[in-house]
Amino acid sequence: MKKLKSLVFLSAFCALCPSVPVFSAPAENSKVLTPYFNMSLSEMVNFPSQGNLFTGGNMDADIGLLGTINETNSIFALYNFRYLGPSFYPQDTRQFYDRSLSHYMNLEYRLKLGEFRFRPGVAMTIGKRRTGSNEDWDTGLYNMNSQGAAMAVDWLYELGGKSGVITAKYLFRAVEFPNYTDLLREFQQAGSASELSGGLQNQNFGQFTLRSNWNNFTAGISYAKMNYLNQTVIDNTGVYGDTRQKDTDVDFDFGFSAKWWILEFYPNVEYSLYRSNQNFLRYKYFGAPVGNLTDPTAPVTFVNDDYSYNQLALRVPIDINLGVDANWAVSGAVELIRKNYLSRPPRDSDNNYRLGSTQNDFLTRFTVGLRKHLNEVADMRFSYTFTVAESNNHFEMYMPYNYTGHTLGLAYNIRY
Amino acid sequence: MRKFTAALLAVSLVPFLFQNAVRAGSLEAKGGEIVAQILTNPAAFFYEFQQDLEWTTPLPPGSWGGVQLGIFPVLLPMGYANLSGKLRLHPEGRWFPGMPQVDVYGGYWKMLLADMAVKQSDDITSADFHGQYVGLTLTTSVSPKVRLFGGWKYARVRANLQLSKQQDIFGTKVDSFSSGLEDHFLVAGIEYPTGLNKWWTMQFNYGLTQELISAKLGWSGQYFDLGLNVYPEGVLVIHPTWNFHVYF
Repeated sequence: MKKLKSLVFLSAFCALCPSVPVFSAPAENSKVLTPYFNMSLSEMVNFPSQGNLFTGGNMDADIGLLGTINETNSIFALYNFRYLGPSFYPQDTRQFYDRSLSHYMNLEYRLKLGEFRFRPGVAMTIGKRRTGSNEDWDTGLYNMNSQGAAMAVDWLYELGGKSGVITAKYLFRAVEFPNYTDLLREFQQAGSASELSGGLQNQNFGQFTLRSNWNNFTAGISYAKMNYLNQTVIDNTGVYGDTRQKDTDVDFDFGFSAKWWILEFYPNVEYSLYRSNQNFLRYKYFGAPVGNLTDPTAPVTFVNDDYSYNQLALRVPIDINLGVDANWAVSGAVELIRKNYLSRPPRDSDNNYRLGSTQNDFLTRFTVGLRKHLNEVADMRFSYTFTVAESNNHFEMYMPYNYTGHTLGLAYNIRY
Repeated sequence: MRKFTAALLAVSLVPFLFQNAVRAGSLEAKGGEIVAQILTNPAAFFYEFQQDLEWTTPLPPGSWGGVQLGIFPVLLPMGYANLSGKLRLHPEGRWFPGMPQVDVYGGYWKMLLADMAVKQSDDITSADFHGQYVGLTLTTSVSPKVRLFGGWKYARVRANLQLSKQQDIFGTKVDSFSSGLEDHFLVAGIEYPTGLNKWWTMQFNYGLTQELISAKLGWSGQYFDLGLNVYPEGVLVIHPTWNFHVYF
């Protein structure tokens, strides 16, 4: 489970990388320096069907500066701070009470030659995560640091009188998990190495992205590869072998934004194919005896290809403005996330695998609320969200898979 | 508009402020939970209230200084006698075009209620709660209406308590604590005028070594500030604030 959570954490990191606002600070010829500021803040109270209600919040702040040297040369620096607090998260990702923070720094040189713009850059991320407010941020099991470089090429074009851009980008990151420990490895090698601290999840991360934006339409495809430097794959004998872990992730996404009369739409669909050669050894309890590893009800069971999955995510936010020029709007959104594991069988409530099917997780969110334009740069939202999580996995001792939740939220966003 | 927004905010605060009481099933259980959280790091709890009085927004154009008194929740009900000041070192663009406005600020508070309690109660041997902060803000106009500001802040808090005998507070045994906190902060935010002598601000503060996180929303008028401060990792997540200030 911890390994999967680290994969998900890394996926979140991957998702952050392409979100750097390429066009967030457009150059103005009259300005040498153009600042950029974007901050969103939300606070919410969550009522789960299982367990106690809890509060949570998110904070996301971008501070950027575009330095325009001349018409063809510029430099863009960006700092991002992101905090994610307790919330309802899709199954197999985070627990309700997890909280994380990250610092992302990016320095990019931009060279514009005709219809093309070249953007080499370097970036660094510091990520921290903890499971409760009393845990030390610096000792989080999934803390992650990364450094790397990227090269992007934009083709600026016009089609049908509308401007567009096609971006090809490759980025590389050396990723370190300084605190990550593998309980299985510690358990199995207790005699020779009682504690293996850090390094097991260290990896080289490479990602190629091709993205197009045109006339409020956006579409992209990305291919990411994670080569683990130290972590090896668990063999079907129940011990670690010599093969290094390798994961890949292919993502397709498509979306658009449209405004028609008083209606605003922002639908987006994303399909992911995550593949890993890592397997899993499920211990029912500490010290469980190793017997027939293929027995789904045995104390120790081997699961081949435990982490590979396909995931479909569909989000359809809608705002209905209360008048053509109104500051108030009624907002709503539907979000569907379906994850299908390729090989992992579901478990019953007693932690026994049920062979003959694979685990499917389904998360649905319905949101209604009010949006208020406070001024030219700020929005405020009040919202209610109903969350339904369903899964054929019924082993929920450590992480809930089947629940409903209600969330009341207050959010602010400013952008300049 | 302001009244309506304030009403909405007040309504929105209800679940946040009382959610843990509902979860605990009783106010006593809630009290015990809060006490346990506070005793884990007392200085951090009292620093949340210090942030309610910290005056980290820029001076308005045309003002060279100002003073501020934090009223709610710092003076009342927490009993923080406090005063903050702000001084403009450089108005925007005077030295050379593009040079940002430079302000320095600072403040001090001391919990007078604690001193009074020591004198009037036999149960408290000593109590010392105080804190201070200093900082520097750079502010630049990015449009006729919008100013961005950012800078550095240093803050420290002391929270010491010695009881003459062990007390049971909501089931938690307490006889003393001695706690301190200090950190250097990154501050960044945006200011937008909403009328004559009226501004709306939003900022975040991040403690570089203690990982303290906060966000502040503020509605400032000629003499009073209304605020909504959010401490995602705090004991009380949301603090509504009300401060009084005078600009020179």
